[in-house]
Amino acid sequence: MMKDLKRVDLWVGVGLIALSIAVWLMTASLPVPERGIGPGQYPRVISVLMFGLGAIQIGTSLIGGLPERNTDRTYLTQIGRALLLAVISLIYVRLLSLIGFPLLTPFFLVGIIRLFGYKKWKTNILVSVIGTAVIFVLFNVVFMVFLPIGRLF
Amino acid sequence: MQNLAYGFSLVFQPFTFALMTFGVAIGVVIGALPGLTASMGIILLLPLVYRLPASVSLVMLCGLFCGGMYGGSISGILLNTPGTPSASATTLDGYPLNRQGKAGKALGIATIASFGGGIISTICLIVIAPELARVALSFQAADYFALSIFGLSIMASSSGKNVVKGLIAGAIGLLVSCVGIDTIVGVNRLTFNNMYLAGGFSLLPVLIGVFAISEVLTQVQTSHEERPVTIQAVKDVLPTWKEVKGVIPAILVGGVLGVFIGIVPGTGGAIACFLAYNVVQKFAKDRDQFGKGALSGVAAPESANNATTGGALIPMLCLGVPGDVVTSVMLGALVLIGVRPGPLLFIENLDVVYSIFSGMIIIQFMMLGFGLLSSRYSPAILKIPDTLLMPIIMVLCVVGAFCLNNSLYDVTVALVFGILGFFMKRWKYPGAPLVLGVILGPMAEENLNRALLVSNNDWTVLFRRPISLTFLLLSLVSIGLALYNVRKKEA
Repeated sequence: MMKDLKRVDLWVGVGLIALSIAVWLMTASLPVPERGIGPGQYPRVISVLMFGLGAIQIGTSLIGGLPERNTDRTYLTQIGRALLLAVISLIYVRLLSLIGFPLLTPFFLVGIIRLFGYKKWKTNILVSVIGTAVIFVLFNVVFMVFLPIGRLF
Repeated sequence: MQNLAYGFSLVFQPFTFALMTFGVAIGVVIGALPGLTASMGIILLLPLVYRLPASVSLVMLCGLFCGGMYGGSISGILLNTPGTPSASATTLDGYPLNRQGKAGKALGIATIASFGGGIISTICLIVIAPELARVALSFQAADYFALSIFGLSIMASSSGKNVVKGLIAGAIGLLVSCVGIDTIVGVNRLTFNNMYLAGGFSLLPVLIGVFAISEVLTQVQTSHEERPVTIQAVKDVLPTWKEVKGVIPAILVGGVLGVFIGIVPGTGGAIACFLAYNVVQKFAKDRDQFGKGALSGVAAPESANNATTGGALIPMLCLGVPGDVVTSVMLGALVLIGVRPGPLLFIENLDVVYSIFSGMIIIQFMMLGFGLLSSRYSPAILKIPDTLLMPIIMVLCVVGAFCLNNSLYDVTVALVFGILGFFMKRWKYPGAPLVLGVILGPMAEENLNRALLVSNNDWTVLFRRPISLTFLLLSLVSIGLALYNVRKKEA
């Protein structure tokens, strides 16, 4: 595992150097006061730190050579499942203002409970509906946080 | 003493007391469930926390912290899977006791030891914290800058083998804290002229993303594998007086070690529990029983991990530097409430400080009662499947992020940081330094600016004051030592 991470660390190092250069350039036009640090100086100190750390990361990854590419592809399925959940969640958040929390959340929950691998549909639907109702009532009535109710209906 | 009595009067108000009990109960449940940690519990309670008075919300969070620390032992003893890393050493003797049909006894001793460790740490907290705060009152801008660097370096250097990765995470956290309108001149910085980014990143969505959503995303990768649940029935929870007397030395040793480990920023319960276990084993008469079901082998780590709670609160309250991951989340909660930890807290928010002190004492008794009374029902908690729990937590994360400003933008930020946290976790980059960077970044910038203003841009001001020089040297030493240890282990 640690060996496999060397390739990732190398790219993180490259990304970090690229980011540090971008930060340096973006803060170039910020005003410089006579005394004290200006708005640009502090991010620039951080960008120098990031550049150094990126260089260390690249150097340590290259020492001893990079490992052979991992032929086991199970990790891709794992990452895929996590990214699928992230995408579903982003879509859910985008749709919240349109469809509303009480209507949309049970469907979201049913979907992701299934994604987590729970196979009993009846319990899944029951937990999703009751869970949504409890959270909605708790936040709207007890905490006075008014969750979006949607614009469609 | 008068202040402590005032603290008790605050804590015993029905509303505060009820929420404190709620915090302990939720903490025990969350701690018991493998995969859920006290920091995640605190994050899930944040939407509730910042609508309450600071003293009330903080005692609730302390309850959750202590409850979570104790709760980890339940699954450690019953499933051989510690609920939190702090309970890892408890499984070494707790699970063998369970296999011998003595799960109740192990849980009883774990509860009593947790109580003992908690009381020792609370006493140390009450004695040490005000004194340390008094010393910290003499700190100047350069010292605070050096202190924030020390906080970051110690958190990064405690990232095990990944010191450089910890530093990278900390640097990214510092960069994230730069986004938005800067506080010195008032110009847009790293915002790409986006009006949302002009406000910077709020701490709550970052916390929710890095610590909670990333955990849900991590769990979904492997959740198809069912957790094997064969749990023995729990009976005879109350140990005999002879058994309690036998573990008192272990509780004392664990308690004292736990407090000191807790005080050192960036350490925490996981280190304390193993250290206490090893020390007690070395001096125990029945050392050959360790690993086979020694009661002292349960008592020492449990006392130690609970003792870290009070210890970790000391640097957080007095200096604004968290002792471990949970206190870094608590620090975030304090900032959200509008309370700035540090020596001034002991002057400006005395009610908050003493309600924490008094609350910590009451919490230990609550935990003792709750643990002894509910142990026999604990197998039921462990039967809650992750596959149902994690999706509910995801919805709570969404709602929690939304609560801050009633804005879906904050929820999107939480999700983005969740994805970042997921990949960081997968690639062994610790999340705590990132969050600490976001918290300590403004403190570092503000104080560096102030120090340079006063000294007419003379950077040597950072090295001329003994306090700032000490913190900067300590930062170098901590990172140097961590790198040396990594090299030694690799060799």
